[in-house]
Amino acid sequence: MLKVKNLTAKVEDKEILKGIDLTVNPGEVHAIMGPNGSGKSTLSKVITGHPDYEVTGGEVSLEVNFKEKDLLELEPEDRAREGVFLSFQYPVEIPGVSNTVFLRAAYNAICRHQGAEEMDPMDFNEFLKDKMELLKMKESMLSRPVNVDFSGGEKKRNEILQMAVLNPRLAFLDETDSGLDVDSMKIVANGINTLKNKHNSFVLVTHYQRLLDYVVPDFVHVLYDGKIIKTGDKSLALEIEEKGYDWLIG
Amino acid sequence: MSKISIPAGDFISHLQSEASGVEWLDAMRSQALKDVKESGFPSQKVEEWKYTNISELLKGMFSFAEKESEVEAPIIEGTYSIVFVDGLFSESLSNLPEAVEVKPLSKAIAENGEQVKKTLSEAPVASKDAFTNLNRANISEGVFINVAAKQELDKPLHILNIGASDGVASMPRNVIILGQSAVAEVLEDYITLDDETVFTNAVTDIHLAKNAQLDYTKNQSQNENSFHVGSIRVTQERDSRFNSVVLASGSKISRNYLDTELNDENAFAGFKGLYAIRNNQLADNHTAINHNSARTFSDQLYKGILDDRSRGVFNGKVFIARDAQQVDSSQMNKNLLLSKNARVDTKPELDVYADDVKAAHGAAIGQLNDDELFYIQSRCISKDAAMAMLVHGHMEEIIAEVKSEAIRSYLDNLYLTLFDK
Repeated sequence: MLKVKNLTAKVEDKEILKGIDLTVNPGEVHAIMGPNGSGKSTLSKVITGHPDYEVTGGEVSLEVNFKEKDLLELEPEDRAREGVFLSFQYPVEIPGVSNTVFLRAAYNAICRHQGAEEMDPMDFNEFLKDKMELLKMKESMLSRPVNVDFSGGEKKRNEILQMAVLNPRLAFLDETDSGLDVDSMKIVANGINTLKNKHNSFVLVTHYQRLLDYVVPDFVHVLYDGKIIKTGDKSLALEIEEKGYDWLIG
Repeated sequence: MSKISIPAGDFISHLQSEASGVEWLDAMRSQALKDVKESGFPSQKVEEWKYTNISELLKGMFSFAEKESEVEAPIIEGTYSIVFVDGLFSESLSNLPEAVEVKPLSKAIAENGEQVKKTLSEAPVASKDAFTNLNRANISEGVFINVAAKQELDKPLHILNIGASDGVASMPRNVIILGQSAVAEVLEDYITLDDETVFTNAVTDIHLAKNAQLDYTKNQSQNENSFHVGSIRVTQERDSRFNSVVLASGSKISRNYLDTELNDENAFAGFKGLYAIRNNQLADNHTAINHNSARTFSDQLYKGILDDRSRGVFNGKVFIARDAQQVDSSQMNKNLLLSKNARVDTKPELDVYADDVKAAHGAAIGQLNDDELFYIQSRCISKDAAMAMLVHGHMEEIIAEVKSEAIRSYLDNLYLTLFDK
């Protein structure tokens, strides 16, 4: 599904990604771990198209209906419409725009892209109901402005709600576990596990293996200084939890 | 004085009303006329007018309308309305409440002479500048609202001022009095229907007795050739609430002054404002909140959205008197610049003479930021739509403060598409 080849990228003249290779197949869960400043967040932002990062080399392609699409050529919204999702480490507040209006605008943008009919507000609210339930979110969260005055846990749940609505092929979850208490973590993990199937893929970007107790990865990659320096299975995450990163960095 | 003022001569030569025949009123008018002739108009050397150049306005030759033009008025469903066309009361377009006293000022001068005289004589002098004097020199029409004690206006009142004829000046003088525990909602609205150049110089005096509550919205959406100067002065007694929303999207040059006197305990003033301007517009907002008594409260947020070469001015003063302890006041001015040629001058001021108070104030000027846009784009929404969404959001934050849903939706229609490209 996702193929990243020798990807390099910089921000303000500072090279952050120094040659990333990564292949993610449908149905797989990957975890990308690494110490602070290793380039973890940059990787997901570059793949989803944040304008602050400049790609200096390499390729990123996504297979959609048996066709390879060059993601780097697409605007962020077009990457999203092809099914690439990013759950933000720091979700942005949008004062004056209600959650439900925002979600419906996003959902209908995908509908238009796929040539499907848009959903009216009544049907959309019905459609949202079980997704809200899945994340144990109160209905009052829908009328509040997007992320404004949300607690840390509410913001992360709201990200997963957006993911549930948009139903992406490939989701990057950037530090989704940071700042979550155990209850919220279980709710979020249960949300991810419920949405997971053999057609979609998840990339969990995380500093700790905490979330990986609940969402079990097929592959664990260690990113350091802009490169993937080791790949293993879930036992690698446990080893890192025990020994830290120093033994890998050498 | 000559150094810092511009002579009143030519500008007011066409702006002199005929005698009303009411003795006290004519005396009041002629004194004010004398005052304005003496003082002239403020130049930018006057601190209060430092960022607002009115020379273009003063070059205009405006005169008063003599007869009502025929127009169609945009009436808001579910509201009462009192309509003025070019400053003249239109009985046929108005729909006045029966249970609450609402009438044109001209009628109130005839019927409630003593009360009107008292209100106009006692009107605060704090903002007695050339424009309020010019208004006073021409007092003849406006709205007179007198909500008796414990009375409640059952629907919002739309005070609709329509500028319809080119070169016309109007100087509405509005009086809003709420008796003890009275409740009302009003929209004071200034619009033009086409591109005729008009000059409006409005003064509104509001008095809230004990425990009265007024939800007050002012909207100024005149066309971009026009000029607007507005002054609103409020006095508040104990336990009264003044919830205001002041919006401006119109006029080439506009200036709005809003002042409240919190004269007794537990009086509250909410000042919410939005100036949303484009092209070569200038919008100037001056506010003053005077905490004259202990345990009085205020909450202020003014937001500016400025595109193209427009210019915004915000100057908000919060005054806390000696011994006015346990006052809680917050003041914020936030500006969003959509173009690198737009400019805003902001000056929040705090003047505190008591020691046990909470007073927060601040100002911010910013642009739409990449992280906000990227977040929305990453949810499948195009960049243009993302920008529009953020701008709508900023405006909606203020418009949402208006109590009546019907008025909110009227304002949404006027504002939400202003910056769409």
